[in-house]
Amino acid sequence: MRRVQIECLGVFRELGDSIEVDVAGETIGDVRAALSKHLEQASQSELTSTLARSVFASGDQMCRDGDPCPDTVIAVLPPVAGG
Amino acid sequence: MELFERTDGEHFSCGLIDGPCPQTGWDVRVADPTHGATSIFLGVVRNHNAGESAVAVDYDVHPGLAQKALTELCIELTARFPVKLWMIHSRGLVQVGEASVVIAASSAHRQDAITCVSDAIDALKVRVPIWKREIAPDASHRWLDGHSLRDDT
Repeated sequence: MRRVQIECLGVFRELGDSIEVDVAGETIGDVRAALSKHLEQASQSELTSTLARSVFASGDQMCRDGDPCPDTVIAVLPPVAGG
Repeated sequence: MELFERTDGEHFSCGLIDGPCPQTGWDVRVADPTHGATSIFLGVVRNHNAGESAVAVDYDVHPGLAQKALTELCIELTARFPVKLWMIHSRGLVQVGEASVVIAASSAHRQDAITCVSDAIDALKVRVPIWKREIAPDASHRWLDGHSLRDDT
């Protein structure tokens, strides 16, 4: 188990600008699972479907679920809506 | 205040700005004596959306990824079209009637500038990490849904 800091963007800012989750595993997919569990515990399960359509990033690099989780802050990016 | 500005020094410039975008002066920025056409798109915050009233939109941005996405988009567009291109987007609060995005392009003949600007705003909306938090007259807010960046599902 490792603690990962997640930077929240878009609608995930409703959780705060950043949160920490305990991740059981080494991949971005494990971070996704940990955040999903956090949403349930924080009574924010309405964000679960948004999370399924969200991506993660480390710095200016997008991450896929199979990628190893870097030892940095991970940003969660919900569907984008600029313009 | 500009958060960043990127340019290749010849074909394009792009950037993010805190607050609303200036609505004038873009024709001068893309002026070129060999170009006979200029097309300018202003994205302006309106007072309604999906049947709900709005007074402003608060734009959230991932600056690093937005910079990267805007720059990549400009490189792609200037490779496809013989244009001089400017793209800028707001971060933070933009009131009704103010511009949140400006895209300007000039070209020798009109079709390249017009098509480039149209393709640019379509791509910006689905590729650049920017999010809208719409503010209602009673100060409540709602985040607007958008386009998923996932490519692994």
